[in-house]
Amino acid sequence: MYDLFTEIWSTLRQNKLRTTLTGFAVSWGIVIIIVLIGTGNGLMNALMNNAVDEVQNIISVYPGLTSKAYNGIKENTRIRFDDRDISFSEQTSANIDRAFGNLEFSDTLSFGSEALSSEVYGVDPLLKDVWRIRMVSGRFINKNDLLDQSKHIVIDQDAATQLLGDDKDYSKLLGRYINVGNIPFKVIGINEAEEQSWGHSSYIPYSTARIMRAEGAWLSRITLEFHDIDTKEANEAFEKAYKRSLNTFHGVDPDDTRTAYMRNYYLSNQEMGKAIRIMRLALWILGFLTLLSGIVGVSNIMLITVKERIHEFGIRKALGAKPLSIMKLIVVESVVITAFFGYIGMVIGMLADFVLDKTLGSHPMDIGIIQLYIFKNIGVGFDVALEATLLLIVAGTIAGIIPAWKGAKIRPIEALRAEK
Amino acid sequence: MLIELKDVNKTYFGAQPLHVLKGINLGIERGEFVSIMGSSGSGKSTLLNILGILDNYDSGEYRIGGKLIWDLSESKAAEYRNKMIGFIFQSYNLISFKTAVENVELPLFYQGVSRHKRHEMAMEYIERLGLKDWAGHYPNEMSGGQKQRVAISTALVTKPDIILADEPTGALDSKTSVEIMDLLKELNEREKLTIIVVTHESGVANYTNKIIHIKDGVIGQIDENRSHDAMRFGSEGVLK
Repeated sequence: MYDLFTEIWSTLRQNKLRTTLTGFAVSWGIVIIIVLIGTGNGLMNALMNNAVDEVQNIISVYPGLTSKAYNGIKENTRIRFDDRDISFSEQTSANIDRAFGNLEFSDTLSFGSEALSSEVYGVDPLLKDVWRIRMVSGRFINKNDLLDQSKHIVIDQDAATQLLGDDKDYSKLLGRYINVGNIPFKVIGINEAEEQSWGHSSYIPYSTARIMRAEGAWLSRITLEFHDIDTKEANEAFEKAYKRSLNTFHGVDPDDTRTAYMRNYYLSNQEMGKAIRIMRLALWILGFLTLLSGIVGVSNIMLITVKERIHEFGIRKALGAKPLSIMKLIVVESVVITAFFGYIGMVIGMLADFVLDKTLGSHPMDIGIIQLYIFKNIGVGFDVALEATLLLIVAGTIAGIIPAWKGAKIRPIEALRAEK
Repeated sequence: MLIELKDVNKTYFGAQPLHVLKGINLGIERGEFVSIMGSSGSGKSTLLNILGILDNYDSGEYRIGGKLIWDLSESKAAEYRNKMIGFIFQSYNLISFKTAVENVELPLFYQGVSRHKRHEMAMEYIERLGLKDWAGHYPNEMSGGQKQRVAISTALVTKPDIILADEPTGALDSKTSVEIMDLLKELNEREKLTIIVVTHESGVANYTNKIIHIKDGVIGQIDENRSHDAMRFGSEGVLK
C-alpha cells in the first residue's frame, strides 16, 4: 500500500495543474452538496420550527358559520362552543379519550410601571406539545394548576423583558407576580417568543380562565384527544362523522361543512414529515447530480491521464506489471483525488454553512408586519458528512474504473509503441 | 536449448494482411551472445516481440527452457516476462518521474520483493554499472549512455534467462555505442548471460558471437562470428 501511494504521489506531483483542476471540480461538487443540504435543512428547520416528533391523535376544532339555512336557523349564523360541546364531544365517539376547550382573550399585563397587551390563553397542559411551546425558564401549566385553578401564568421572553423595563435577564421575573387586568398572577414559566407572532401570548390554566370569564363565555376551540385512527382515510372519515354529529347537536344541517374547521395535528405532522422526506431526497438527488458532473470530470481527466501514460504502462508491462496492478494504480489514484479534494470541499461547504447560519440564519427577514426566519440552524450533521465521504469514495472508484480498464487492457507492444 | 522456435508464423491482419514471419526455426543455447540482423521490414522486430512475450504468434511453437509459450493470459505473460526476460530498448524506456535506482527497482516491485531488499539489489547493479553517483538522478538529468546503463541494470536485476536488446545503441553516439557493446560482451563472457541483440547495424552485429540474418520473414544464413570478422564494419571498434 505504501508503494502504491508513493507511486500515486509522484504522478500527481508530475501534473500539478491537472490535479488541481480535477480536484477543484470535485471540491466544488461537494461544496454544492453540503451547502444545498445545509440550507435545505435550515429551510425545513425554519418551516417546522422544530424537528418532527410523533404527535398523538389530536384535532382542534374551531367554530365557523352555517352556510345554509336549516330548520329555522339562518345562513351565516355563528356556531358557538361552550362547555356543553366538551361533554358532547367526549360522548360522541368511542375513539375520543378526552376533549378540552380553550378560552382566549386579550388583556393587559402589568408589572410595576410597565404594561403591555397580550393574548391570554386558558389552556390544557397538553397544548404545550401541540403548539410546540418551548420553555426557556421555569415550567408550563400542569395538571395541578388545572385542578387548583391556580393563578399561574406563563409569558414569553419578549414580554418578560419588556415588563422588566428592557432587562434582558428575563428569568428575574420568575416567581414574581404580574397583573392580568387587575388580578395578580404568579409567573411560573417563560417560553421562547414565537418568531412569527403578531403580538405576545400568555398561558394560564383553562380552569382559571373559566372563572375569570363569565359563565357561558365562548370557547375559541375544542381540542380532541383520540386513539386508534391511523390512516389518512380513517382520519377523514372520523372528522366527517364528528362534524355531522356536531352539526346535529347544534341543530344545523348535518351536511354543512362550514360550521366548524378542524386542524388535525396528527395528519399535518405526518404530511409535513412526508414533505420533508421528499424535500430531503430531492436535495440529495440535486447534490448527487452536481457531484456527477464532478465524477465525469474526474473520469475524463483520468482517461487523458491514461492516454498520456500509455507508454509508461507499456514499460511497466514489459517489466512484469499485471493488468490488475495497472488497474489498481489508476483506480486508487482516482479515489485519492476525489477523497482528498472531496474532503476539502466538505470542510469548505461546512464553513459556508456556518457563515450562512450566522448571517441568513440569525437575522430574521423583515416583511413589514412581521419578522420572518427563512432559515434556521443551517448546516449538516455528522451523518450527512459521513454519507458524503462514502459517496465520494464510491464516486472516485466509479470515475476510475473505465479509464483503468482502458489502461489495463492495452497490449504491451502497442503501449510501448505509443508516443511518450 | 534455451530458446527453441519451430515454424513460427505471424501475420498482421490489417487492410492488407501482412505475413511477417514465415516459418521461423531457430535455436539459441544458454550463454550465447547472438544478434538478429535484418533491414527494416524484415520481421526482426516482430520476432523480438515474440521472443519477449510482448506479442503472440499465429502458429508454430516457441519454448523457453522447454516451457511452451502459447496462449498465455496477460497476467501469466507478465509473470514470465518479469522472471525470464530482461529488456534493453533503443529508447531506454525509463520512467521519467522515477530516479535511476527507482527504475531499476521496478521489476523487483512487480515480483513482490520488499522495499529494503529491492533497493539493496537495485543499488548493487547500479554500482556494478558505474552509476553509483547517479542513483538518485532522474533520467532527464543523464546522458544517453548513462540512461542505457540504467536500462541494462533494470534488465539484469531480476537475473533473467534471456537479455533481449532491441537496437541498444540506436540512440547513442559511436563512442558510447562501443562502451555499451563492450559492456554486453563482458556480461556475456563473465556472467554467462544469454544475450540476443536485434539490430540493423552490421558493426553492432559484429560484436556478437553469432549473427542470424533475417530477411522477408525467413531466417537466412547464420554466421559463426567467434573471431568478430564477419562484418566489414566494427572490426576496429568503429560502429558508425
